Amino acid sequence: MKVKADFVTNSSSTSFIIISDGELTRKSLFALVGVPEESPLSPIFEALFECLIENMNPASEYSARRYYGYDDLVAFVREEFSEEIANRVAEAQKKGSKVYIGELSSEDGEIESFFCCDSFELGDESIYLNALECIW
Amino acid sequence: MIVLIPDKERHFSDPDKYLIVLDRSYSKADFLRAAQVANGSYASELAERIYNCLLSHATDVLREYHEYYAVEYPDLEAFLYWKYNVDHSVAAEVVGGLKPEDFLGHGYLYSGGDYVIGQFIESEPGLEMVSQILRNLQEAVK
Repeated sequence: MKVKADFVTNSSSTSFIIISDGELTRKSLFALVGVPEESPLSPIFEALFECLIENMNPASEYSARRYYGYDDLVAFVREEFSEEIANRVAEAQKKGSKVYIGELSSEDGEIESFFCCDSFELGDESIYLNALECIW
Repeated sequence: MIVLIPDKERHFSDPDKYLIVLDRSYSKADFLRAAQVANGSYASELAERIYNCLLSHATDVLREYHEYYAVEYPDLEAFLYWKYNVDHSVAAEVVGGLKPEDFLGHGYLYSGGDYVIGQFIESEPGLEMVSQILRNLQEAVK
């Protein structure tokens, strides 16, 4: 029998969605969050970029692999995120923009855990990042 | 002198309490300038939340001591030990390095209710980033 003599916590994962006209790059993410290279906070966004790149999947693959029973991607997003984001995805599909979905885990390092728990929504002319589901 | 002393080594009774020493008190605007983030951005919001967590709710220990407790304790070091349960060696180090115009704050990372930011400051990479902002304060503001 193992005895843990400290706090015992649960772990979790939260979902994010990215709609982009082009590739998500480190530079575009830094511009989106408003952090220049010289900022002391830039390492956290460097880590966020790595987390996103590692965990983002083309939405069609993600929904097909992980969930069944939805008519299409928009229906999946409507159910898993919200009506508003589903409308954005439908619009993005018409425009030919890229849609990605992924998850952040509380178990994969302190920075990913931070963003897994924080809730935010960011957007500019070419990228939309919704992590509003990232909340406990 | 800028020192941020979280309770990684259990110097306080509550591990989420901390002492912070700055060469003077700084406003939120000063802090955001030192964080070097774009106005109104998500990065700026994070910096503001860090400021709120660390400094908005911190007790001004020197003011508290001189106004209310100086007659009750033999010195500031003893006050830190008995009132805030700060380890003798840490209290001696902090008091020994204090200048009259310094700000000495004491706080609880979760007093503002921002659990995620408290966790961030407690993390090793988070503490390093926050410490760099604090180091920048003197240069960025002056």
